[in-house]
Amino acid sequence: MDNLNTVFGTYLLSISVILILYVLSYARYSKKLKDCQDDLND
Amino acid sequence: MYQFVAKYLVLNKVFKFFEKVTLPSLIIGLIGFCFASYLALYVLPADAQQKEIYRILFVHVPSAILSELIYIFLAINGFIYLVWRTKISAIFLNAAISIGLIFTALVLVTGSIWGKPTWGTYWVWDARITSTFILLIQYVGLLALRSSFSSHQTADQILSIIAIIGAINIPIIKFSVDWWNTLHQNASITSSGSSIASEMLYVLPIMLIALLFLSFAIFGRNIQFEILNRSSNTRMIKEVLNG
Repeated sequence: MDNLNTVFGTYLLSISVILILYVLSYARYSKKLKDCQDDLND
Repeated sequence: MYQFVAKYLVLNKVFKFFEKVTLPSLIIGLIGFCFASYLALYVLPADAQQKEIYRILFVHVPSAILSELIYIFLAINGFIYLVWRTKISAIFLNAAISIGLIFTALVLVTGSIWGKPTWGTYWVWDARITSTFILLIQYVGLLALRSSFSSHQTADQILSIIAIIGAINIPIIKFSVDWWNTLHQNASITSSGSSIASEMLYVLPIMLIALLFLSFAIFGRNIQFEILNRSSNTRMIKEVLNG
């Protein structure tokens, strides 16, 4: 049972890390896009 | 005119392409990950020797494959950039580094978690683990180098050279279990067959494909950022954003 919890935790950790990287990448891109659009409007 | 088309129009198309495919790729990847996890955690039986803990390998092995494939991708793009000076290759190279770093870290962490109940230790300096750890350092080094140059062109050239030189580590990781005595077993899947039971084997490619889609989604966002970041004037930004 302990091992099964460890396995669940590992899967959760893996998908969390991947999703966090996606969110960070998206946030960085969104900020840059907004900056560029602001530059175009100025 | 030709230079303008080569420089901006291609980037514009790549930007638009990733705008369309990134979110669907993320959704497909998430569904695939959930499906593969369901199969690995609930459908497959426990292993006769390792019991439940072997289920970690369905994340560990695809992550290992991806960490190496992504580095090969970096080296190929570095080579193309150095030979043909194609801007898009440098963008691909830069966009893939963080993804490779994450998967290499996942390989080491999931391997350690699996190793404790199986080998009795979280970490051992055997050839496979050490060479994978070196791969992690290579990714960290590439990320650090990228941010230490103010000029994109200089950074791209140096990253390309280092990525190509560092590719020597990939065959070392692959063949380390054959060349040295290590705790790792030899390759389970070879051209002559597989030592993994067939009813367990099919989950591995499903998880690999799911992780590929998730990687592609992150890759897409990184590429879009890189394209905007390298758009040095308003004319180019207009071309990229408005088509």
